[in-house]
Amino acid sequence: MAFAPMGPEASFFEVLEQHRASLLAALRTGREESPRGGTRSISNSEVLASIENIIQDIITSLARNEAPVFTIENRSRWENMKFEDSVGLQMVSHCTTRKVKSDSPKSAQNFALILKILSMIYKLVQSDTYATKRDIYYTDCQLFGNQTVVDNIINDISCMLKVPRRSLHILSTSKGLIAGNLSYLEEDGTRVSCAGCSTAVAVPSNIQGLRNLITDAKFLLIVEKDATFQRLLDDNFCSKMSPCIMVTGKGVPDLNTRLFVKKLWELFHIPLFTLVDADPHGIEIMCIYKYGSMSMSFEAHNLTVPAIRWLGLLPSDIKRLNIPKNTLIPLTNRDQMKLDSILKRPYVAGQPFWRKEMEIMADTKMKAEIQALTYIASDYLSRVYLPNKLKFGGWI
Amino acid sequence: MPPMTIGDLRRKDPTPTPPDTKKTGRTISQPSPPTHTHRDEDKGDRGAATEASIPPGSRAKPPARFTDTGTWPDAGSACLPTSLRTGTATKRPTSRQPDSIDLNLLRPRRRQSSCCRTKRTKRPGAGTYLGAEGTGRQLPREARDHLEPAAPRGLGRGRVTPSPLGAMATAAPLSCPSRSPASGSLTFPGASATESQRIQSAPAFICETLKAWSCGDAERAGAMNDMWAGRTRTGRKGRRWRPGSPVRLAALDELELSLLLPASDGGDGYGQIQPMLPGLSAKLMWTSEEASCPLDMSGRSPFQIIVEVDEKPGTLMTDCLAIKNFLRKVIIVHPKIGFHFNVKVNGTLSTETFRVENEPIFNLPNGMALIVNDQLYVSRPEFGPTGFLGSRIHPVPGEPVTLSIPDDVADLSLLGELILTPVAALCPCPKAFSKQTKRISSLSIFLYGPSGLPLILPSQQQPATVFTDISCFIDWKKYHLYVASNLDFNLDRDTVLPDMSYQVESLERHLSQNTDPQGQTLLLFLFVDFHSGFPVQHMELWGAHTFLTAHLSAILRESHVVRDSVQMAVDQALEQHHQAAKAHQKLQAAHAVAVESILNVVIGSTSNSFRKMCLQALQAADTRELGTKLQRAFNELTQHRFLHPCSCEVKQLPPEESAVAQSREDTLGSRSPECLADPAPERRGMQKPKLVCNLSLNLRALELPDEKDNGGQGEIKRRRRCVEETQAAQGSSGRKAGAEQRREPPLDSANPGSGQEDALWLQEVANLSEWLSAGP
Repeated sequence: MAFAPMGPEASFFEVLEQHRASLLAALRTGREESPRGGTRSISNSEVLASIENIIQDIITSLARNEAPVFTIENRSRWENMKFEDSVGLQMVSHCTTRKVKSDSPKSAQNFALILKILSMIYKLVQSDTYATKRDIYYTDCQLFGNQTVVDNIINDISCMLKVPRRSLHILSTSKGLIAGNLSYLEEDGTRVSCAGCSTAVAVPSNIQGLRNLITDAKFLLIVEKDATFQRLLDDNFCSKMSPCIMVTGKGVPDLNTRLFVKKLWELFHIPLFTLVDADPHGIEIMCIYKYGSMSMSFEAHNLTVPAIRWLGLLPSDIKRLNIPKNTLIPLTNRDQMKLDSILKRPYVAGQPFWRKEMEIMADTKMKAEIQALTYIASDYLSRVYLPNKLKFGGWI
Repeated sequence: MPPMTIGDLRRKDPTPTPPDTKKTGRTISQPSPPTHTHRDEDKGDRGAATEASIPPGSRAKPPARFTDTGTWPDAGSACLPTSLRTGTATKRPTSRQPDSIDLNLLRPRRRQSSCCRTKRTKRPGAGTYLGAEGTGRQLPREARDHLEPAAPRGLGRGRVTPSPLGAMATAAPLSCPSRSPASGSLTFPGASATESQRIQSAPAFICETLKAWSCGDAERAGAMNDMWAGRTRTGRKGRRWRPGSPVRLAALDELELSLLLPASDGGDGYGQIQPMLPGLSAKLMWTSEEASCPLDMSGRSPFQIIVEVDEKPGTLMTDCLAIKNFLRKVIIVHPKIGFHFNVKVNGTLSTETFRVENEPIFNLPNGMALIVNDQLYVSRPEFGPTGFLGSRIHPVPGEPVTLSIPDDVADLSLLGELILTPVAALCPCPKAFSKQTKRISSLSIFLYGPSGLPLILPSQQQPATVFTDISCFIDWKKYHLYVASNLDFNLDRDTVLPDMSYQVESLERHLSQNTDPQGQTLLLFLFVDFHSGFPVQHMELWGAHTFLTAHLSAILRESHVVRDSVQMAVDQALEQHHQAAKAHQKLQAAHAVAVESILNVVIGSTSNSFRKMCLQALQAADTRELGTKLQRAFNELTQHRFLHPCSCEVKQLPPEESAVAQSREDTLGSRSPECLADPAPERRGMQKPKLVCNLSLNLRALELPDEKDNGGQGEIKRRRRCVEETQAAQGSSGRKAGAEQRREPPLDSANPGSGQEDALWLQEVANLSEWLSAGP
């Protein structure tokens, strides 16, 4: 790339190259084959027909003097999940369902809201326009109550129709940021370069519309927190480790950030690492990038990247680096419960090193944030910790 | 001649004979000394003696029985002043055969039998004292000892005014061993001791109250004490009856009381009935079970009062309506009691049965039961043929509070406490909404005294009663409501007439456009019970009842805790209404959004086949009509949901078994007393007929299923059969029949198990609250 900053010597990336080669080899053997089953594009006419079928069923029920009911799959139950190494968490084919009744005081309003959003989606698809979830919420704030209601209903509709959210012409406002060696062309023709500037670029809202993505990055670093991401930007981490890409989802990643990471993996097959806090919540966020979440398990094929590795901060690093104990935080009961929950998840069985790290955390009953490294030195993270980890393969 | 018992006479002579009222009167006024011996020892002699005194061909023979019985008049007559007893007897006119007013009280055999044993127990070495409390005889030492600890138990600040009845009641052995089950106390299968006591008290009280109504008789006799006179000497106004105004059965010339008991009772039942007989200013007539008043098929024994009147049509009609309302008020808190009310005018017999069967009841904290079928409280025509009556109300009891007696009315008679238990409920059930939001349009107050006997306040107190300004009980402003007294009552209706009625208006009525003009009624039941720490004797209860009748308003005004208790009950009842109304509004709003969304898709669709299918499915000509039909369909779904699976629904009884069954048997035509009292013949210039009326009133304590008999399975099977028969009778096909079947109440709806429904209801209200508070 033009104006590419000078990074470390080529020997610095030897281990990374080896890791990438192993990933590619795994892809070829199918062990970590990129899931592609869910990327089927659905035409507008199919979406319209699906909605019309639902309306038709409701009117037919009313004509029979029967209360119309929406049957929606339970997306938040572990019994409806299955785990595949190549995909992550995904829904079983015959999962349990729940009914949203139109004649029950408890669910009638939810029934009406589903219909309301369905009618809005119908219009969006008909007019081939897009709206964000926030746009939908603001059409009738009083009716929807809060944004979470809209988000859940949109996910329910997406799951019920088996149509990706993008095909419903509903976008979500991206909160993720990108920095590093990457350029791309947006759907409207705008050329975006994420390199060469001290500020990050927002993750585009239309991931499927991105074209001409170009990068020389040797790796992609996913940073859990925006604060750490900004600190790394300030420390010119992308320049020092050039060529590389940094992404943050600012906590729990939104759909676009996950879609973007997935797209980069599918296009370039570069090693992906996560930098999260050494606490159960950080591990949970990492698992969402890697294996997906329960609530979006019906779209796991488009969202999960099983090739992601855990770079830091590892609980074992706390002892290894002699991080001062006064910087550590005791695990709360909630942390303990979360940790126990993660340890019971199916994908942990295939990650013995992860299990070991989590057991260390459980034994010490302490957690640490990434910022704990600043007690060693203010730029310890960007100058020592990450370079060493990347150079010597300190990921698991 | 050895003393005779009535039971012996009845078994010996099943054929009733006409009463000899003069003999009866003399007997009552000259009671024989108590010479009770064991009943079985002198049955034969008494029977023979009675047979000898009965004129051949007579239908009933009370005179001989009264004379020969010898013991009960003494016991009962002691309950009333001597002047009353004498006057009543001597002034009673001769009978006017054949027409009369019959008051029949039906009671279970077993209960009467056990009851009688209690009343006739003779305790060795303790002297003889009968179940007729207040005989004034010497009590055994241990009984007096039992009474002594009760003396300090006053009524708080004051004492109840002594009355002849009350004073005598305090002299009765309140907790003597003879009342224990082993020695023959009154016990009912499946009923607690308190309940049993209430049941056995109720007939006496009802008779006393009916007796009070017969003011004409009392006045002529000149023997009614102030207790009665204060109530009965006021007048009436045509067919309108104002709350608290006295009810009287005008110009009663004769009152006949006949008691029917099965032979198996051995006549023991008289001991229970005795206390109330001497006070009756009427001719009393005993009849056997083969008499004209048939024994109930369920084995209930009738207790019959026959009153002969010669009255103007309008007066008779008003009196009949007033009595019927009184009976309704009794049965809603005494589900085990039933009445047959017969009116015979010029040979035309009209019969009505007042009783409740298989009705869900609500067990109140004070031990009372309340029928919760809303059809007893609100008439169906008010809500139209498509209304939502047929569900149950959900009473909310307030905290029982001890009433304080003002110093100016307090006295030293009855030793005990007056406990007020308010109960509030909305009628119809707030859950059973139709298409519109219900508002509260009226308030009805029902007053009950000890043992659940209706309290009828004297009309003189009306202007000054605490009920004039009901805001002293309930803070209406917090509900943005105001109330105004509704002084006019229409007696001529099938529902229970409240003691007080108010119109309720909303201060924000203009804000709620989508309200049903009919509205709901807030029912407020005020139960005032009497507790002394010992088993309360009948006469004590009656004394408390009399005291409450005179001073209830002053007591309630004095007791500040009353407002808190009433307000709590009302708050909870209205909270249910508030939650249900809110839920209904949200449901309506949700359906409006759903309809709009569906229409948007249909209108915006470019698929001709889709649009056509949608219009055809609801048989709509265009999308506008489709919207209307969609809204209607959702509304019907709402109604369907609220009506059919509603746990608070009650069974629609066949007419003959409804709460106030109207089985009119016209031998000469089908005319009710009201019809019979039609003054039209006079206006048409016809000769005014002489109306000789026969009222028959049956007070019935419904027999409970025998627990020993298969654990009550027989009763359950009977009910199940009844349900199956009802379902078979409904018979019609399709969803309507299915819906009706779903409306069947649970088999144990008449049992205390109905509390489970209330628990479900409360849970549902809680769920509603949770749902509403969580937001959309």
